[in-house]
Amino acid sequence: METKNIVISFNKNFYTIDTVKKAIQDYKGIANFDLKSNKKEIKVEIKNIKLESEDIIKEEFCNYVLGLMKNA
Amino acid sequence: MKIVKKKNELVISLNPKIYPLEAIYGACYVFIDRAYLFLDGDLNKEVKIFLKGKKELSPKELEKLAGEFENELLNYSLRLSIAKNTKNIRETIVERALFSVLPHEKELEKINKSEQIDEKTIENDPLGIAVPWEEKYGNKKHSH
Repeated sequence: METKNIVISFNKNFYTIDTVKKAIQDYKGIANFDLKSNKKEIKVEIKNIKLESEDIIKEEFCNYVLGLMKNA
Repeated sequence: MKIVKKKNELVISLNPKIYPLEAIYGACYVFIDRAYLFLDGDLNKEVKIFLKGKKELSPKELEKLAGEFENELLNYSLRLSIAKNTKNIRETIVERALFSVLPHEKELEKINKSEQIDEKTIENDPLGIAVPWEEKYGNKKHSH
């Protein structure tokens, strides 16, 4: 069964690429991640999500990155 | 501050000149177990905080959440401002505390004196420990 892909755009004013990379490293067990970055934003595409985490992965991932930012 | 209420979601718009980014991170962190948070906007104009309840929230609960978030923002902003204003005095207190642990001048003199005595004792060498083997015994061969 195919799962949907999710794209999240993190504003570089509030999120750093190192933090997003760290979060991807920690989340790599439950999905595949593709990272792109331009001047203004960091784009993360989440693919092949394990079914049980499909509904909440986007929000949980964003919270996780924000938590890392607070402690960065 | 402007708050837009949607279904189970709040969009809070802030002036970043009033609320520093560090305070925004701090306040968001407090709510991380109860809500999903996301930051967007422009640091020079307006910061937008998207706050979505982890569980379904009634309009009243959402309003309560908004109020609590505002309070937390103020709390963090005040904390930061106090930390900034008292930075010098805190540093002075730590410096003094560390300095008080250092030995005083008299104690230092005492330590120096005792070291001098030790050096003299070494120079005297009553047991002849510092004398090289060859000097003491020549080239004698020893049988075991």
